[in-house]
Amino acid sequence: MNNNLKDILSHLNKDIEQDKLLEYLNNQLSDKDQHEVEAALNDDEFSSEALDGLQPMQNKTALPGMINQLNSGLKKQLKKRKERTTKSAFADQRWIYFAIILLLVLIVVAYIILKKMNP
Amino acid sequence: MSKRNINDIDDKALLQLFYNNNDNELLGILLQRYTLLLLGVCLKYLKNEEEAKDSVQQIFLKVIIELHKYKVEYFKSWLYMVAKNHCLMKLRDKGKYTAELNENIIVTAEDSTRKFEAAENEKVLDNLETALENLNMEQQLCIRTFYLEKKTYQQIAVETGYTIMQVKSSIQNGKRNLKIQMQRMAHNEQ
Repeated sequence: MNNNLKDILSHLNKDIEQDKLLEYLNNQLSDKDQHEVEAALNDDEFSSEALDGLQPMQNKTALPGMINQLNSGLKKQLKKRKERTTKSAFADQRWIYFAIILLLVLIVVAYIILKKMNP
Repeated sequence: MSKRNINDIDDKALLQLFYNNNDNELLGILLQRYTLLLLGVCLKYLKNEEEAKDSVQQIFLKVIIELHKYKVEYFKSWLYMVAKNHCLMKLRDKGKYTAELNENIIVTAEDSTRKFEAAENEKVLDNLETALENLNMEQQLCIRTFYLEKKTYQQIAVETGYTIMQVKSSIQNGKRNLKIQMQRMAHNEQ
């Protein structure tokens, strides 16, 4: 039996990089590379389902643009969230700063009163 | 750590780095590795480009929120589960998908990362040959041509007259059937 058949049972779980998948979708790969991508797809449900959705697209050359658009949207979301976290961290700490200042004022006032009572 | 170094590290290490530093920029790098796959999955289920793009952004947001709450072990499988469930929920809201979202639909990390050990001994190869012969003609032909002759889906489609989708699903379903048969044979031998 041909040893290649053993490949059927192996689960390589090899990740396909996005660029390679884009080249595959645009028929820019050699037969060997194409076969390699397909062998990885057979073991990866996520990539396989994604390919089912991407393959029927009419204008596949628009894909890199769409990806860039989604990625910049993601960066904006992350930036917004970071700003919100920083603001809420400051809001959380505001009460601590207020309490420290109040305590200092009370200590100073107490010191002044004590000083006046016992000159 | 430089950006170049970060791009070289795998998902697991990057996720761990994110949990240690709570740095959203790392999460951004991790998510961007899957933008195309997420778009593809959303397109498959929703069949509409604009809706798919909106869904990818909603999935990003969901991931940003959820990852801060839970410790995820296998990022890719978890992300796939989040994306698939998101799309199925959308279809259910539209009344296009009636099945319940349950444990069977959710792909667990264990399932998707389980490795089927490569066949080493002759007995397993014999069982494999028997199991192959039990497959239907279409699956058998596609699997043999793909794995033995190292042909592409396209080449097999031209040779057999099947569509590329038929070739792809014959190989994937055939592989699944083979594994089930092999497991049954191994169980019977015990």
